[in-house]
Amino acid sequence: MIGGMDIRIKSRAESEDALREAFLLISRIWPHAVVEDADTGKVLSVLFPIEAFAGLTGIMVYRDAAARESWGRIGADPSNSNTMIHVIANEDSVTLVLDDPDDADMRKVVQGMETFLANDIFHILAERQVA
Amino acid sequence: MMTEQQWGRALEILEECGLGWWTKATGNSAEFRQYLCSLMEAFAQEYTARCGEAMTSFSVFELYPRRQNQVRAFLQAVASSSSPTMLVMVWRILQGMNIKSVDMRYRMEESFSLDVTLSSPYTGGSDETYQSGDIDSAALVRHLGIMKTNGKPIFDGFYPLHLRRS
Repeated sequence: MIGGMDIRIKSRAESEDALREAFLLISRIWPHAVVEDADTGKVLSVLFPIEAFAGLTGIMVYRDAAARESWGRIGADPSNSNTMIHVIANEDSVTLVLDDPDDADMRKVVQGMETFLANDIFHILAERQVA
Repeated sequence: MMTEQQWGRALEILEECGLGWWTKATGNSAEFRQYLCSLMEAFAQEYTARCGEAMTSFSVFELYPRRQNQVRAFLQAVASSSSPTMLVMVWRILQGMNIKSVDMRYRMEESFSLDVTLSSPYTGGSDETYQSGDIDSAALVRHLGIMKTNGKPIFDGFYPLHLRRS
């Protein structure tokens, strides 16, 4: 068995934006990534324009279709290590559940999401007034 | 042009998107209506010409109930930039296009240029280029999502400012 590690990142981004960005980031590393709704297990069709993440709170992103099939068949077996990332978006945080945060690809994902969610634009409350 | 009913709904959405200051600043005048409707019409025409999909001046407002965050970001761009071309660029980013390159050049009291190239997130799509010589377009850059992967820079996505409703 392999154990998932939770990487929780504070977030003020909309859940849809965070999930979409996580998927786009992961799919740059895994070009054949397959994504499913974490609640229903339904595979999402990420067509253009990208609207697949509206209303979702979590996604599972698999390295490819074979990885998804393997997870479905044998679950958290060591052979499936670092082939799936579970992303959960809440009102105040995004959690990445992955196997080995020291793996080079996993580090890219974590760093990417940390820098993305740190953007000022998600944190600064502004008030525009008439000059 | 928008109907009276559409214009009323557009004003409500502007308010909900934190842009009530804009309608107040203009006194919700006939000139403001003319300006915004003309800009949205020009945007729709440019979008249709570039992307081949029909769009009207009210299409973006119609999407608000199910695409609130995207419409909020877009309308904030409309309040910053009067360039239909750059508004198409914003809409394409909101649809999921990758931001392949951004080149901004500025010379005080001489010149400004912003050149943006977008690429499809899927293989086979062709690049799209957008250019502006209006310094107002610089305001659009602050809406871009910023990230690093493996220390390398990425602009991705176009996000709304958290404007209070006035």
